[in-house]
Order: sequence, then structure tokens, then C-alpha cells
Amino acid sequence: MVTHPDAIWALSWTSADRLISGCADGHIRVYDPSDLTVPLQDIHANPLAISSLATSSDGRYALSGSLDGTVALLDLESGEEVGKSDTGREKIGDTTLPAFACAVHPSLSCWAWSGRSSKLGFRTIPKDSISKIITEDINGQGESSFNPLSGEARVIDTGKGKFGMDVKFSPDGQSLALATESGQIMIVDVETGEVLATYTSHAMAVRTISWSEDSQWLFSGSDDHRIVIHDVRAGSKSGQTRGEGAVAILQGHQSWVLRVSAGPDGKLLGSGGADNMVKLWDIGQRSCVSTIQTSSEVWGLDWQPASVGGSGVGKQFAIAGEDKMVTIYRAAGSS
Amino acid sequence: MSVSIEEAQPAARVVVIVGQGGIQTDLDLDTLGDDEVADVIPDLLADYSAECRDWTLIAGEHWRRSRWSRAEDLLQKGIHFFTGGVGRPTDHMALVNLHAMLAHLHLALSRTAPKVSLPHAKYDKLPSNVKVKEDHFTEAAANLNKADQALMASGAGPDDEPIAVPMGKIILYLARGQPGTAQPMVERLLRRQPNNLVALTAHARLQFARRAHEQALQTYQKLLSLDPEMRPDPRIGIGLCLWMLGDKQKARLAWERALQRDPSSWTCMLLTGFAALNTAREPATAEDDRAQLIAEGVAYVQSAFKLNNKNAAAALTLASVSGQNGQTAVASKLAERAIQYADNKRHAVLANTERGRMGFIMQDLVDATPFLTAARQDDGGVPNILADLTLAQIAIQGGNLREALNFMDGLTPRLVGKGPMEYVVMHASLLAYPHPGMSSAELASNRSKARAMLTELHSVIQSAETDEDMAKVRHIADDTDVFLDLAKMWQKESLEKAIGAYQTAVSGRVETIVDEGGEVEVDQRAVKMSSNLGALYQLQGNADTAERMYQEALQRLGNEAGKEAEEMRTILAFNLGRAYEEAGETTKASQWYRDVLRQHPEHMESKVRLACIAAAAGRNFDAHTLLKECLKSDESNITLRSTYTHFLISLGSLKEALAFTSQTLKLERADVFTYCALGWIHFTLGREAKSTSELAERTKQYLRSAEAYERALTLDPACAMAAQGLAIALAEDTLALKPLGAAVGTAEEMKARMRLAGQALGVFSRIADSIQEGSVHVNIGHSFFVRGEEDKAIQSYEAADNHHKGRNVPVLLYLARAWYAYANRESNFSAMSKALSFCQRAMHIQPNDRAILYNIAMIQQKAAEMLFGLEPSKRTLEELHVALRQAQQAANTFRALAEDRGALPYDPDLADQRARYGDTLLRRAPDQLSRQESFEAEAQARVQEARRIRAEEQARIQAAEAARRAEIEAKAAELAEQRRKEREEAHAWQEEMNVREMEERAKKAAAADKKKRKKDNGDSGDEGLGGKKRKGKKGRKVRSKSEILSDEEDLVYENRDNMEVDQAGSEVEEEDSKDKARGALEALRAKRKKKVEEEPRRGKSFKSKEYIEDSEDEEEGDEERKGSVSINGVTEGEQDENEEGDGGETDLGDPMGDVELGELAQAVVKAGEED
Repeated sequence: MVTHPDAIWALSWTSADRLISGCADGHIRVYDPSDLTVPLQDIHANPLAISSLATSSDGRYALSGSLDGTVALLDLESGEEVGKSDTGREKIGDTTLPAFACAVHPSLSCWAWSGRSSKLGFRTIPKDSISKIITEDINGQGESSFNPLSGEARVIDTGKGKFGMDVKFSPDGQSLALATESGQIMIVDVETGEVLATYTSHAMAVRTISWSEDSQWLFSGSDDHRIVIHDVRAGSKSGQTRGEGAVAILQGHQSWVLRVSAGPDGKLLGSGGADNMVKLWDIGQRSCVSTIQTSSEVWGLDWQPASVGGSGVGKQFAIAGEDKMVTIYRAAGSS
Repeated sequence: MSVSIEEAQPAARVVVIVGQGGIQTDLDLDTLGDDEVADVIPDLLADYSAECRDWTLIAGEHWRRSRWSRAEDLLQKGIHFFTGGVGRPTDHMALVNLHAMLAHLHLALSRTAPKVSLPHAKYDKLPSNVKVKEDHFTEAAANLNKADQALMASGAGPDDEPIAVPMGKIILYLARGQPGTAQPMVERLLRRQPNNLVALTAHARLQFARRAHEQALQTYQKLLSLDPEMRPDPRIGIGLCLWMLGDKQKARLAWERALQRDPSSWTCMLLTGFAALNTAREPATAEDDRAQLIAEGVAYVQSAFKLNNKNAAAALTLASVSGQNGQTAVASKLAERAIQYADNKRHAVLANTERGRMGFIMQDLVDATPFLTAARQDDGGVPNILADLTLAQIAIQGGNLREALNFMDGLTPRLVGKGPMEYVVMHASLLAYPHPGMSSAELASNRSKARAMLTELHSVIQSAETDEDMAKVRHIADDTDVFLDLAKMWQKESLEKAIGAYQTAVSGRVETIVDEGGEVEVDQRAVKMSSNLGALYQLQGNADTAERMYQEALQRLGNEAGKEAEEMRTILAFNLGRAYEEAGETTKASQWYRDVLRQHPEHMESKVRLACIAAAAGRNFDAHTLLKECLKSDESNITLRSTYTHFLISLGSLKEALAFTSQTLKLERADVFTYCALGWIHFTLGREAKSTSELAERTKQYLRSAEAYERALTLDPACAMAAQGLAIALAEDTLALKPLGAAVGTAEEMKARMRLAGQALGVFSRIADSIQEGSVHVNIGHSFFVRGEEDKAIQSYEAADNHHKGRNVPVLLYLARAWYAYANRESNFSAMSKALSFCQRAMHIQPNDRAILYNIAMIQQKAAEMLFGLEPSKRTLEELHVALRQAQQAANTFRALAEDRGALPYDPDLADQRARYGDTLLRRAPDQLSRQESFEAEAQARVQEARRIRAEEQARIQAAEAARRAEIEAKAAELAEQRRKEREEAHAWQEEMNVREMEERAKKAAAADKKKRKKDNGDSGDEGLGGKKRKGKKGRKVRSKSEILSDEEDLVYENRDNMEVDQAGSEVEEEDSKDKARGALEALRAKRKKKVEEEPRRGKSFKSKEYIEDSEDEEEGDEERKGSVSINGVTEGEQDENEEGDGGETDLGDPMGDVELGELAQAVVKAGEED
């Protein structure tokens, strides 16, 4: 457990075995899970509270978005800010699209964000733009004028909804899922920008979505207290976009579902709610297998990635929330 | 013994009557009973002029043989004979004897004569010519009087009076119940014959009647010792006395002994029987013993009754026993017997009551009433509960509850203390039942009285733990209806008590079921009771227990078929649904509701609940469909309509809601909730008015709102929601007809607002006691806020936030606003950070509201502005940096907001202005920064300087100390050196002496060795000389200082020096600790962001100065506060507060307007200042 100065609204466990917390004071802190006492890095790149956090597949970079729409790309190893974008001011075409949620492509090839009007913003991250900066830094040539986050932009109008609450790239990098405040979930093809499927499984705001490790399933948690499992293949293959994807509803939370996170072994799903509960679900059985009562709302939950878990894959996860603490849980039997 | 009598009898059976002429006639007494013999005897005696003794003898024989009329006849004739006639003198003494005997005969007869002959007796009819006791008494009295007269006529003195006369009088008085008159006579008699057994018996009886039981006991014992064979056995009396004295065991022994001696004594049997019955009635007696004792007692009493079927007590006992056994006819007859033969009032009353009760039981009301009335009339001040109860029951049966209640009410004051519980139960039930023509106030007071009575009873039953207590309450505790009534009476006011009563009822019910043993038929009532108890638990908020109760009830219902069971099942299913819904398990709840709907597709409540669940989950379409369906099937259901209203409000369709509510009012004009909803809708419509036409309506809307709330309050004076609505109207001062758009903000206006807010606060705080909801706290917070008491407002808002679990955006924004105002007033940077934090939380939950972002930027900018305005000493560079960063961000944000296009909840131009203002602010930043830097550098320098000075000082002290120490060491060394030198000198001198000696010797020695020896001595001499020189130098110095001090004194001086050094060291330490304290103080100061950078202080005088400075600061703060209050007042005067109505919905848009307007005005004011 580690205490922060303010509530933690985003949490990520990277494949480089680092815990990244996004705090309401605008700081990103990087921890070694085996020693949570002192942060390895304390990065203050975003002016306001961190509302969104995504990491690259290698666990080296993180994209953090704050309430004012500022998005920053961070090098977690050095603690440097390598790119920044003020989405609230940068015009794409003739509109601005202030970000509330942002996501970075697993391969760092592009990043996406959403917020008002649930339009999706896409920007490519030019190749080598990041490494260029780094090499320049190493070479001591000062700051680069090139910003990796201000690559070529496009906007995808998904049509539905009025506010994007969460954006997630699928682990295979092919699709992007967007959850909206009015309850829709859209799957967008990263290549073409085409909306592949729209699910209206919820009637209230969907605050969180999570892909399964094999990119076949999408889990969503909503203010209607429910978690819905979507079979993404069904929607994408048949081309029919409405409703087909929802295959199961998990009920048990007694308030808003604030975070869902699929375990790396594909068996378990973790969820945190405004009812101060953390629940573990057996995806195959579609039932709740464990409930942990905490002291406050659980905004962040992430599993230890398979790459660092060793033999005990899917045995550990970390939670964080309004209680300003990051807490690691281990499944019984694992050390 | 009896054998000897029989043997003796034949000899004595012949009476020889000697006539005047010596004629002897033998009369065989055995033949006296023959009519022909008896008829002639009086004449015979008269003819023979028999002596008085003969007359009495024969009369006595008749008496013994129970030939009462013969005896009486004979005695009458004897009297006639002895009265004398022609030629015959009156024999007064004989007359006395005969009269006395006749009197005794009547007295004896009276014992078996009925007391009264009931004209309306139905079962135990007596011959109409029967003589009652009083007739016999009159006869006896007359005869005794005549005996007295005859005695007087005979001229004999009182001592000659035959004992029989006073005895007769005594017996008469006793029988007539005049012990007072009897007593002196008994005493006189006893003076004459102290050992007269009869007199003594009478004496004992009198003593017993006077309740002098111990004396009576002594008298009876004396009797027993005088005549152990006496009949009736004095042991009976002894037993009675013992019983009264409390030794019941010995009493029973005495009676049993008496019974052994005389097995035919009905008195003994009766008493033994009574003893057994009384023991049986004691609550402590176990159930088995009880039955046995009763059987034994009844058997005794029965045999006693057989021996003497005219005994009222026995008859009464048997009557109640057979009454309990259901033999009402027998019981009635026995009761009538008891009435007619009762020899005391108590018996008569009881017998009457019993008889009346029997009549009631046999449904013969006409028959029963006279007996009961008689019983009531005779009761002589002792309340007869049974009679009154029966009368009340008769009244109830006749449907005349009012009369029954009158009986009960009439009884209560006569019952000193508490009546039996059964009576309480009945009285309470009557009180609780509404009688026709009873005023509602009376009914209410009666009900509360009944409730109090039953509650007391309930607590008695609940606290009954021992077997004895349980036995007392057994029958009541099993009477479920009583507790159901009690529960109903509490239901409205105290769920807890209602549940308690229900629990008792259910447990009683269950026990009876268990007692009855495996009843196959399902007890519908028990199921219903479980269901109701569950509902009560649910109302109490105990959903889990409620759920369990419902499940139990369902189980008990099993597969029972039938309409009632089916209904019950539906109710239970619905209730279970409600319980699950309450527990938050909406899935299960919906399942149960659907279950109900499958069975009964038109079960509206289930549909409504499903709609509510759907609406809560955001499935508004489903909810709407369901509600519409319901409305189609039953348009006039008020609950349904209010649900639909709520739904419409939650959708935000206020206009539709208003129309719908007005329609509802047409259907039902007395529904509090409808009026509350109406009030809320009107208020919200008025407040949310945007267009000009709507604005014109605003005042009207407010007025209508207040009207609606007022109506609600008249309907239910305890309606806190309506009270809250009115309090809001009061606080907002919406009722006054203000010209629209008029400038608000004059001083009076402000004062009035403060006053109104204060009044509203009073109301709200009372409302908060009854409604545990966030909205009340929000309103309290608003009121405090208007009054400028931000800290209290913050507390209230925080309470509201706790209620909403931090997920209510408006409340978070209120908190932010309150902290913002507080920070502005106090110039408190950390408070500003708080405001920022709350704003961010709100934004995080509701990210689509750009107005919150505007507010965030506003707060950030304001923080910087605030810091800029502060003295450098009241801020820190660090804070300034943070604030500058924030201001920079704020400017960016404002720019972004200004550039934003589309439907915006704020004015983009204003954002633009803000952005530009931010830039100007930022332009001032370097200056501020440098000021602060220089200040801090200066401060730092001062601190450094101070540190340096202190360090120097310390160094100096240390140096001094070191010097001193060195000096001391030097001195010590010097001393040692000196000593050493002196020693050396001495040594050297010695050696020199030696050398000189040697030299002298050597001089005297051979001249050849002289040269070599001289060289050796010279070396050592050089050494010694050098040392001496060195030592001498220092030694001189020391000497010069201490001058004439000896070595030892010198050492002392040295020590003192050391001590001084120590003291100096501790002083340094002290100063260090002071430094630390100061550091802590400064940390505190930094926390409060006072930023008072003090001069480095060193003395106490500085400290006091600091305090003075502080207080000055505060005064300044106060002034500032006043200033800022007025500013706030000006700017926020117009702002609306987001009051909540009853719906629980809060509007989301407003609070940003608050900050916006507030800051604008402040900006203007600021600009004015700058100008």
C-alpha cells in the first residue's frame, strides 16, 4: 500500500513491472510493485487531475490525460515528458476536441482520444519521433521542437452519444473501443477509422471498458451497476452492429461500476465500483467469485501482466481509488 | 363408644310421666314419631299436668328426630298450658324455659332456612311458603323476648336466668350479623360460667370475627382442653385461625384430624376442600399438582355438599367448578342455591355474579341481567370485576359498545391500583375501537390511552422470565389479537414498538401451533402475521430480516391451494420483491415482480416497481411503457400517478409533469404528495425560467409553489417536505413581489436576506431532524452561505456530500464554491486548493460539463490573483510558483474555452476576457516573483545573517571555552611542570649538592681524575638549567594572575571556571530548542499560509511582539472579511440557490453561474480598486 496526496483516478500495471498511478493532484507516479514506499518517478506533466492513463505494450511509455484536456506522453523510465498536446486548443479542421479519455496504440504508432460529442480524435505518432528526442537528449542537444503527439490528425464521428468516457485500443492493435456517457459502446477499426459495431447494452454512462488479452471480448462497466460482456467477433464478422455483441450481463455491484479490467489469463475479470467494492468475476461462469469491501470508491484496478507474473499469471492485481492508496492483492495460494 | 350408647339407649328410651294423681304413664320415646302417639302427647301432658321438664324432654326428642313441627307444636302447647288459665297459676319459670327452647328451635331451623327465596329462581325453586331465615329469627326473637318477660314476671334475678336465654340471644345476634351486640352478652355469660363451652365457642367466634385470630386460637385450644370430645370439634376453629395466621399446612392438619374424628363433619370437608382448591390456584403450583389438587378439593366440597346441601359456600364453589366444566345448568342451579342460602353478603354477591355469568354463557341475557345487577348493587364498595366484566360483555354482545365502555370506565376508578390483565386487555380493546358518534379527538385520546395500557402489559409479558411470571401472563401472552391490535396502534408512530408487539404475537401464535401439535391445515393468520412482521422490518430498513420473514411465510404456505392462499402468495412474492429491491438486489427483485405479473398480469404494484427499477437503470423507455400500461388500466390510482409524476420530473419534462399533477389534483384533492410535487414543479419552473415570457411568470410560479406547499401543510402539519419548500421560499424571499431585474444589493436588501436566511435556518435545522437527506443539508449550507458563514456552510455541504457518497456533482460544486468564498475572504491559499480539488472531483464525475472546467480555471486564476495581492511576508515562493503555474494553465484553459464554439454553458467572451486578464496577471508575475524572491532572499539573508551571528557567537563562546580550557590545561600542565621542575630542581640541587660534595670530595680526590668528571657534571647541569628557565616563565605568569593564591586555591578557581562553561553550554542548548520551537511555529504558520515572516527573534520580548502582530493581522482579517462579505453580497445577491424539492432531483446547471457572476463582479470591483 502506498499513500498519495490526493485521490487516485487511474492505475496501470505495465509489462515492465511498474505500477503507474494517476492522481487527482495531476501527478503521475511510477512504483516498483515490490517496493511501494517511494515512487521511482514523480512526473508532473498534466496541469489538472489525471482522468485517463494508458501505457504502451512494452511498458516504457505512458499517455496521461487530465481534466482540462491536456495529454502528455511520458517516458516512465526517465520520468521525462516526451510529448504534449493541449487537445482543448489544438484545432482539427475547425473544431477542437478536448480530451477526457485518451489511449495509446500498443505499438506507439498512434494515439486516440475522446471527450465532448464522443468524436474520436486520432493522431499518428511519427516513427522515431520519440527515439529521436531521446537520442537528442542523450546527445545533450536540448529540447526537441518536434512533438510526437502532434502528428497527423483525423476525427472520426461515431455519431452516437454526447460524451466519450473511455477509450481503449485492443491488445492486438486492430480495434479501438469507445464508451460514451449515454451508454453506447463503439468499436472502430484503427486502420480505416470505420465504426465496426455499436452496442447499446447500457442505458447509463459507461465509465470503463476493458479488452480481453486476446482482443476477442470487451467488457464494459456502467452507472447502471452492470457489467456487460461483449463478444466482439460476433459484431465485427457479421457486420451487424446492433446488440449482438452483448453476451452476458454481470450484476452484483450496488452502485456505479467505475473500473473493469480483464485478467491476463482470460479467466477472471476484476471490477471496482462506487459501492466501495472490488469484485472478481469468472468470465466463463459469468458469476462473481470474490468480493472485497474497501473503504472508498475504487477508480483504478489493473492486473499484473503475464509477462512479469511468472508462474502465477493472473494472481495479483492492484487497486486504487478515493482512499488515496494503491493496494496490491494476491490471490490465495500465490506468494 | 357408639356401641356403649346403643347399649345404653334401650334403657333410657322409656320416659315415665307421673301425673297428678300419681298416675304413671310410660312413654316409649321410640314410638313418639308415630302420628297417633304424637298427636295425643300434648293433651296427655296437659292432662297429667306434667312438669316442664317432661315437656321439654319430649320436645327435645322430637327435635332430635328432626320432627320440627311436632316439637314446635308441643312447645307452643306447653307454653299455652303453662301460661295458665282458669284456676291455674302461670308457671313463669316453665314459660322461660319453653320460650327459650322454642327460640332455639327457630334458631336451629334458621340455620337451614334459605336467606332469601328468589322469586325469579329458575333452576333451584323453593316451595313458595318456605320460611326464610329472617322469619325464624323473628320468631326466635319474639320467644326470647317472651322468655325475658316471663323471667321478669317470675321475679327471679338475672342470676337465675336459665343459660338458654342469653345463649339464644347470643346465637341470634351472631346469626343476624350483629357481633357488637352479642359480645357484651357473651362476656357476661362467661363471667357467670367461665367454662361454658357454648359461650366459649361464641367467644372464639367473636374473636375470630374481630380478626383477633391468635386470641381465637387460644380460646379454641382452651375449648379443646376443656372437652376433648366436644362437638363441633374446636379443631375446625383452630384450623381456621391457623389458616388465617398463614400456617396453612397446620390448618389442613387440624381439619384432617377433625375429619378423622368425625367423618361426617361437612364443615371439615368443606374447609379441607377449600384448602386444596386455594392451593391449586396459587401460580407457583405446577400444572400436574394443580389438577390433582382441584380434583381433591372438588371431591371434598362435593361430599360436604352432599352432607349439607344448603351450604352456600359449597354450592358456590361447586357452581363455579361445574360452570368451568361447561355444566351450565347444574352450575346455575348451584348458584341459585348459593344465592338463596348465602349467609353473608360476599357469598351472595359472588353467587349472583356466578349465576349471571352462567346466564350470559347460556346466551340468556334477560336471565342474567337481574342477577348481575343484584351483584353490583350488593357489592358494598368492593369492586366486583367479574360482574362488571360480564355486564360489559353482555353489552358488547348486544352491540352496545359504548355502554360496555361505560361499564369499564366506571370500574376503573373503583379499582384501587391495577386490575387483572384480562380486564386491562378488554378495557384497552374497547377504548381502541371506534364507536359510532365518537368525536375524532376522543377516539385519538382513547386510542393513545389504550396503547399506553397495552404497551405496559406488553412490557410485563416481555419481561416475564420466571415460570411464575409466565403462569400469570400465560393466557394473555397467547392471545395474538391483543398484540396485533397493539402493533397496529404503534405502526404509525413507532416501528420498533410495533415490531415488538408483532414478535410477541407471532411467537404466541407459533407456540400455540406447536402446542396443538402438527396441525395439517396451514394457519393463514400465522402466515399473514409473518408477512406483516416482515413488512414492518422492511419499513424499519431491515431488509434482510424482512426477506427472511417473507421466505418463512412462503414456506409455511407451502402448496396450499385456495383463493386466500393464492392471494397471500402474491402478496408475499411482491413483498419479497420489495425487500430485494430495498437491499439493492434489483435483479432478484425484478424476478419476483415478473413472477407476480405472470400469475396476475394486471398486478399494478409490481408493474410500477418494475418501472421504477427500469427508470433507475436508465431504461426510460421501458419504464415509460410500463407506466403507461398501468395508467391505462387504472387512471385514478394516486400512487401510480405520483410515480409517473416523479418519472416525468426525473426525465426533466417539467411542463408535462405539471399538467399531469394538475390532473391528479382533480382526481384527489387531499394528497399531500401531490401538493408537494406541485409546489416543487412550480418552484423549479419559476427558477429555471429563461425566456422573457417565462421570466414574467416567475413570481407567479413562486407564489403558486408556496400555495401548494401550504395546502400540503394544512393536510399534514408534519410534512417536512412542504415545510422545507416553504423555508426555501422564505430564504429566497421569492414571495415578495419584486420588480424584475431591479438592482439588488442595497444594504437593507442584504440585511433582509441575512435575516431571512437565519429564519430559514431555524426551520431547516428542525427539518433535518425528521428528514435524513442530503437536500436538507444542502439547504442549510445555502443558508449559512448567504449569511457569510462559509465554514458552517462547508460543514453542511460536507454532510450532504456524505449522504450522496461523493457522487452528487452539485453538492461538490457547492463545496467548491463555499471553499472558494472562504479562501477569498481569508486569503487562504490552501482553502483555494480545496475548492480546486472539489471542482476537479465534480468534473471527473461529470466530465461533459464545460462550466466546471471554467470554474476550475477561475479558481486557479483567482488563487494567483489572491497571492499577488498579499504581502510577501504572507506567502511563500513555493506557493507563488504553484499559483503561477496554475494561472498559466487557467489562462490556457480560458483561451481554449473562449475558442470553443457550440452550445456552451458559459459566455465565451467572458472566457476570453478572463484569458486576457490572466495574461496581464501573468505579466505581473515576474515582478511578483522577483519581489518574493528578493524578500525571501532578504529574509533568507537575515536568517543567514542571524545564523552567521549565532555561529560566530557560538564560535566565540567555543573559542573562549577552548581558550579557557587550554589555559586550565596549561595551568595544570604548568603546575605539574612546576612540581616536576621543583622536584627536578630539588633533585638537581641534591645532585648538585652531591656533585658538589663529590666535587669537593673529588677536589679532595686525586687531581688526575678531575678533568673527566667535570665534563659529566656539566652536561646534566645544562639540562636542568633549560627546564628551569621554561618553567619559570609560565610560573611567573600564573603567579601574576592569581598573585598570592596558593596552588590549591588555584584549583578551586579552575573548577568554577568549568562550571561557568557548562552553564554557557546549556544556554546554547536552550536557544537551540527555542529555534526548534520557532521552526515548528513557522511550519504551522506556513500551513495556515499566513506567510508572516518574522524577524529572527532572540528574546522573549520579541515573542510578545509577535503575538501583538498576530492579533493585528486578525483584526485586519476581520475588516477584510466585512469588506468581502459585502462584495459577496452584492455579487451573489441575485444568484439562485439550487434548492431541492421533494423529488430528490437536483438541477445541475446553476452553480457555475454563481462563481461566474461572483467573480465577474469581483473583477469589476478589482478594476475599480486598481483605477
